[in-house]
Order: sequence, then structure tokens, then C-alpha cells
Amino acid sequence: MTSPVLRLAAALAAPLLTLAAVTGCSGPAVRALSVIGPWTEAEENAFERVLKDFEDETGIRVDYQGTSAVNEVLRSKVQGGSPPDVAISWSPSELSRHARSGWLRPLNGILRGRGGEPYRRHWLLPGKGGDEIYAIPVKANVKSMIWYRPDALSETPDTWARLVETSRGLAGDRAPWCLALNDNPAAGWPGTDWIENILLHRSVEHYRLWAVGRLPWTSPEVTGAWRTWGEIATRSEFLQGGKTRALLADFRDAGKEMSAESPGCVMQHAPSYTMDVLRKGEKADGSPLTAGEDFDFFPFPSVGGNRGSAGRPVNVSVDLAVAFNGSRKVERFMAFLASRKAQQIWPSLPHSSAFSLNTRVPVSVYQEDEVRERIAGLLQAPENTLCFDASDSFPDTMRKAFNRAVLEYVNEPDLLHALLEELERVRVSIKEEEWVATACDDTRK
Amino acid sequence: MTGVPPPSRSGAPTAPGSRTLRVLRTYRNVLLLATLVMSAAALWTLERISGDVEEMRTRTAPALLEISEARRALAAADAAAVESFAVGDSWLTGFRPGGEYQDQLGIANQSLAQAAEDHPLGEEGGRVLQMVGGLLVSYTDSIGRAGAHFQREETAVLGRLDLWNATRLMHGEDGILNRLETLQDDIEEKARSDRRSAWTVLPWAAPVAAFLALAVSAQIYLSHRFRRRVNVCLAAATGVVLVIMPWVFFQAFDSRRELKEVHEELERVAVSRKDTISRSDARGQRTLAGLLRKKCDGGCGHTLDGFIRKHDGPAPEKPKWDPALSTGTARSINSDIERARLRGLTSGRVLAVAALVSLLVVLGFRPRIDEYRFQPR
Repeated sequence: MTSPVLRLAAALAAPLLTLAAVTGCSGPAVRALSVIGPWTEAEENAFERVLKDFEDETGIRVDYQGTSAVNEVLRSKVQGGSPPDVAISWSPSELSRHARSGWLRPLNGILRGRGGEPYRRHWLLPGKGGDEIYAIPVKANVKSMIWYRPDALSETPDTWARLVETSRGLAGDRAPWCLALNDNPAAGWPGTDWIENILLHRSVEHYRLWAVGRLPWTSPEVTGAWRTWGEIATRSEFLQGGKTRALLADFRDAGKEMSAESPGCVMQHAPSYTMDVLRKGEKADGSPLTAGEDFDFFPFPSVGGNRGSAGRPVNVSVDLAVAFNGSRKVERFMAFLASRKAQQIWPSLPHSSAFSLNTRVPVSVYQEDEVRERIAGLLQAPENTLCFDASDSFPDTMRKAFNRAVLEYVNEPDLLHALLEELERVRVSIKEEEWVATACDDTRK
Repeated sequence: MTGVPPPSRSGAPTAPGSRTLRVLRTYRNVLLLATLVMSAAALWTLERISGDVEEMRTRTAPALLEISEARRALAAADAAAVESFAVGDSWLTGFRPGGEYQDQLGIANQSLAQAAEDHPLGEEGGRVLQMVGGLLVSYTDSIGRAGAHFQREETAVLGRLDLWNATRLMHGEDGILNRLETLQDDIEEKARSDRRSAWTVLPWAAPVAAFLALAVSAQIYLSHRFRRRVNVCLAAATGVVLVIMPWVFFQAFDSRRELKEVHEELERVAVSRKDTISRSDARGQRTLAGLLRKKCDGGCGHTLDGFIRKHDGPAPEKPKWDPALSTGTARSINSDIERARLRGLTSGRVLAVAALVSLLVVLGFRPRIDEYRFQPR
């Protein structure tokens, strides 16, 4: 005989077991791809447009987290054993470190079968062996350029000597240079760009060695680059507000000074994205400034009479995407990012300052903006030698020391010898494997 | 007990005997089931209450206190550092930026380490605290460099740059203090959403009421059917439930009420510390603005000039801080939490009471059931 208690228990157990089975045996919810990157605010919105196209095309959801401290966040996630599916960073050295540790998935299959690689090989972060590649460049910023006010500069200098001469000519009337070296927490980096460009435009070969840690800071080439920069950066009469202002002012404010109704300075050595700040300036009648008319750029001049054997050297800061997960979804995402279609989205947005390193992206995406087309031309010209921004490629310790040394040098130029000795001591202390494999197009291949 | 057939309303031992046996068994089984449900509900409620109290005792309250204390100490350390550079103490008198900076920084580090051990908000909380730890290293580096740079007039401008950048790491939109404040807000928000009213223990009363109703109904049935005034065992079981369960109920209700008071006390502490932090912030930032103004007569760019303009004016009074007050607050909150714990009310005791009630129910029905068990059907 079945007791009433057992019958009741059975009646209660049936729905409970069913509920347990439903909750316990159903599959996990569909997980979005996790992506972290350096873009926040307006840049994040622009990148979301790229992501939206991917989501619409594939139905795969992407969860993007933007942070200005992308390298630190990534490091902490990796140390915690839970890296994102995809990470985007401006630092090849940081990403190479994760590749060395075995965290990154090779991406050779992504570009295979596309009729040749649409990217120069060094942008793809090849490993030290050279066979495997780990990155897809998402966005590029050109750094070998000087922005200026055409109303104050009738002729653009094409050599360093002429640049100094032009500065001297302007100095009596208006400060030639908008120099602002502060950018918390990496104060000093705007100065490192100067030194990199001077060395790159004097000798690509020496730049190539220096960027991968094989040229001493005390070498005549590197010392010469610092001294050359000192011809402008340590002369208060060339700088708006003198050296004190150059040291204390925020980097982004330099562009604002140049685009003000009464500009306090005429030229600024700054990356291509500075165009965003300059565009926000206003004319006397309140209308916005126009690129090519109210402000323009000229390429960084040659230094020491060297124009290079073929084409022009260009210093580029690149945002690279890498994969920590080899799933099919991640592969589709990386393939999408590498595609011509995806590479066109961001540059074609109105007033975008993004550039693509995909050689198949047509100039038409820059929407007949002559200034942007000229910048893109620097990246597309096959004869130009394109190099990673050296300090982006440096290991973290070296980059920080370089940034600090720039500030100390501008403040006290007499310290140069001691500063270079100290930088060299830092370089020697870094293990060889911590340097990136290559920083420029390898013409030997 | 005898083998005499039980009396029926008609007085004859007939087939209705089997019906009576079924009714008796059903009453007994349903009362046992009600005891089971009542005990399970009691255990579940007690478990939830104990869990909430433990969560508050071991994670929420310590994390909130530690994070708000870290914020207060960091704001005070920053103000102390800037002040020591601004008043121009001689480096010969000791290592700048001074003892108070070191002391407050020590307190902040200790609080942050303790907060990390409390694991507030799980992985997300850990990530924020890790990020804050990284920023704090950069901050102390900057202050350390400022100390070195301020020792020579030639490098004093770099000292100001270091201080300016350090203060932005501390006070910026993505800075240390804002990140900690957001984390604190998130923990408070979670605690608020987890907070259950004292009356949430009420549903537990339903199975108790059901048991009592059944027990009374059984008692009436037995007295009518067997002409006994009262079934002693069943009355004892009812008595145990009537005495024990209200006691348990009121303990649970009281615990919930105490927990609510802890929440309110924590909110009061947060508001009070926020005021201290604001005053330290204002003092530190106005002092820094004065220090930077000396080098920026001709302007130092929109950002820095804007900061100087925003923090123009004399620095406010230094906020008072009494370490004993912090310790006293923590002690008071801890004793509130202690009061919210369920004293003497353990799962074992609830189960023991349940076993006793079940035994009494079984014993109460056993003689009557036995009377029928061997009757012809």
C-alpha cells in the first residue's frame, strides 16, 4: 500500500525534479565576445559602428570595454587567468609579451587565401621566428607631421635647417611653436615623438636598430637626435610661454592654442588625430576652421641632408587587435576586422581622423578631404618606409624612462650626457626577448 | 487498551472502522508533513537570515568602512603632501612630503588591503581595487619625484608638474578617489537591493498556522470520535509549537530589524566621511592651485589655467579627524551586527524541536490507530 505521505512526496518531487532538470541541463546562455580596447567617448562610439556592422553581418554579439589604461587592465586580466577574447592596444611590446607567454592565438589563417596580404608584414606582429603573425591593425595615427597655420607661414620647410631658420624668422613676432609635453600619466611622450622622428629622418637604419634595443642611447646618432631637438625645444623664445609652459601645459591644449581666434603659436608637431582638436577652433566670425585652409600640415623634414634612399620614412602609432581565444567566433571577428569592408567604416565617418593600413582601402573613403588624403598617401605610398612609433614598441620600463628624460632635458639641457647614460643603463638591464622583433618594413625580405 | 471494538455512533463495530483508521492515519501523516514543512521553512528562513548577517559582518560592512576610510585617508594624504610642498618646509627638516602624508597613506594602504580581503562585489570589486592599487603606485611615484624635484630650485617646475599629475591621478574623473567612490556606491546599492524588510519573515508563519489548525481539528475529531477530553501528546506537540515557534519568529524579526539599523548606520558614516573628504579635497586642491599659479602667470594652457581658476581662493580649514572615532564607529557597527545574529537558534535545535513534535504526534495517534489496526475490515 502506498502511504499518503509518499504520494504527497512524489507529487511534490515531480515538479521539483523537472525544474532542476530544466535549469541544470539546459545549455549556457549565448556569450558575447569580450573585447577590450583603448578607445573611450567619441572614439568608442566610432568603433561601436564597426562592431555593429559585424553584429549585423554575423549575429554574433560583441561586448566592448574601453579604457585609457588598456595595457594595465589587460595585464591584470591575464594575470588573473581570464583574458578577454580580443584585446586592442597601441603597444606592440605589450602585445608581444603576451604572444611570448603563449596567450595569443596565431592569425595566419585569417589572411590566408585573400590573394596576398593587404598589410605590410611588420604591422601583423610577426613572432621572433617570423612564421606566425599575431595582430590585425585596426587604426593608424601618422606621427611624422607638423601642423601649422597657413596664414602665418607662407613656405613650408623641407629640411631641419630650414625649419630652425623658419622658427627664428617667426620668433620676433609670434611664438613659432606650440609645445606642450604633459599628458598624464605619460608626461613627456610628445617630446619622444620629436626625437624619434629626428632619428628616423636622419637614418632609417639606425632608427630600426634603436627601436628594437640594439643601438645604445649614448651612440652619436641618438645623442645627435637629442641635441638636434634641443635646437628648438630648449629655446624659450621659440616656445609659446617658454619652457615652463611647455613642461606644465597639457598636450591637447597645444592644438587649442594654434586653432584659437588669435593663435599664440604657429606650428605644432603632433599626430594626425590632432586634426580633431584643430577642427574645433573657430574663426573670427564663429565658423569652424577648415583643414587645408585655416590649418594644414607638412611632412616632418629631412634631417642632416638625408632624404632617404627611396621614399619617405613615416612614424606610425598603430592600434593592434590580438586574439586570446581561438574559437570560430573570434576567428570570424578578426577576419572581419582585417577585411577591406571593416577597415573602411571608421575612416569614412564624417570628420573622422582614423586611417587604415590596409593597402586595398581606396583613398575615396577619406571623402575628398584633401588633407586626409595626403595623410593617407603617406601610408599608402609603396616607396615609403613605415615604422612603428619607437616608444610604443619599447618595453614599459624603457618607455617610461624615455618620457621622463625628455622632461628633464627640456628643463635642464646640460643634463643630456647624464640622462643618456641613465637611459643606456635602463636599456642594458632589459632582457633581449622583451624587445619587439621588428619596428619597420624589413626591406631585406 | 483492550480488544474491545471501538464505539461507533451507532454503537456497533462495523465497516466504518476502516474509515476511522484512514482518517486517523491521514491526520497523523498530514500533521507530520506539516511539521516537516514548518521545520524546512524555519531552517530556510534561518539560513537566509544567518547568511545575510554573515554577509554584512564579513563582507559588506567591513568593505564599506574600509573603502570610505581609504578615501578619507587618501584625500588627507594628498592635501598633506601638497601643503608640505607649498609651505616650503626645508628638506633639511626631514623627508618631504612629510610625516602626515606618510601616515595617511599607510592608513589608506592598510584599508585597501583589508577591503581586498573582504572581496566586495566578487571579481568586479577585486578588479577595481587592483586598478586602484596600480594607480596608487603611480601616484606615490609622482609624489616621490616631486619630493626630489622640490629639493632644487632648478627642478622645482618639474616638482610642480609631478604634483599636478599626481593630483589628477587622485582626483581626476578616472582617478583613484572616483573609482573608490563608485565601488562604494555599487556595494551600497547591492546591499540596498539585498536588504529585506523585517516582515519578510511573515510567510514562514503560514506552515505554523497550518500545523496549529490541523492539530486543533485533530483534537476535536478525537474528542468527538473517542469521547476523550484531550489527547495529551497532541496537546503537548501543539504547546511546543505554540511556545517555540513565536520565539523563533520574533528572533528572526528582530534580526532583520537590527540589520536594517546597521544599514542606516553605515549610510550615516558614509555621509559624514564624504563631508570630511570634500573638505580635504578643497584644501589640497586650492593649495596646489596657489603653488601652480606662481609659475603660470602668463598662462599654462586651458586645462591648467582652468584648474587654477576653479580652485582660486584661500584654502579651507583642515578637517578634524579623530582615529578613535573611526575605531569607535567600526566597533559600534560590529556590535549592531552582533545583535542581529540569531542567538541560540541553530539548525540543530530547530531539528530537535521538529523531532520532538513529530514524536509527540506519532505517540498521540498510536493508541487510537492500534485500536483499529487488528480489526476486521
